[in-house]
Amino acid sequence: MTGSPADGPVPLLQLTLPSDETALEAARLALFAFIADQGLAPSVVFKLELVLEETLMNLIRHAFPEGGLHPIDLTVRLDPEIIELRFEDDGLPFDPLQVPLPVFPTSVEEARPGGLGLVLVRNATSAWRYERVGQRNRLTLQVARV
Amino acid sequence: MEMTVTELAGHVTRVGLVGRLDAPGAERISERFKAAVVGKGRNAILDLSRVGFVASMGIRLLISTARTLQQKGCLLVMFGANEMVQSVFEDAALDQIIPIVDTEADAIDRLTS
Repeated sequence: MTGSPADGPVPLLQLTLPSDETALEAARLALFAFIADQGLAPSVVFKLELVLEETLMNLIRHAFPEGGLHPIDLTVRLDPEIIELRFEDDGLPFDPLQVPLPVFPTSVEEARPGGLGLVLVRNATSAWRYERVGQRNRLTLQVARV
Repeated sequence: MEMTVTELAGHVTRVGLVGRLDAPGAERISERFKAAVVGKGRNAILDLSRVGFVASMGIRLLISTARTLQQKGCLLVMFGANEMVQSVFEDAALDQIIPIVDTEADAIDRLTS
């Protein structure tokens, strides 16, 4: 946060989401309500939605192979320059930054699923950081306001 | 996610999608969409002008549908994507494997060229 103390506390949205696909809609609607008065360009809102969906889908599909419910903590922070989304979970250690970019196909015949979501997240974010904190993953992603 | 299907002259199927092509949207429309695009075994054009959002699961659906259509010897051409949807397609290099044009007329032209 680069604002002065007179700006007041940093606005935060904190959600605990289920590790299944019902999390997608719940998180999206809460995010929309939280950023509604921020005057963000539609392209920035689009990027936030993309980061939210792809990150949650990746967690839901890959982080918890043994099944069961594993709450995902999402914190959204508004900053004058960026919107930050922080995901925390107790799933398998996974650093998306270490995943090589997929080789893009040259025909629909060659096209295979996988890796695409991470590409979209990389392109939508201005900065990201992965940490393993104890038994938990913490992924912090920033989307620029412009 | 809603869908309209129209059979055009020249043995072309026109499919229009309305809504969000995100994971829940793609899952809900998947079977109906594939059946509509591929079922008749004709070339198809896809109107995306009323699709406001797309994510990787939506792109997977488009790729698998285009592939199945191609295996029948037919082509899928998409048109009308808004600037943000188009940008995601380019990030995913989708525009390299499924033709994407501006207008419906361009799409028809692409099929006949």
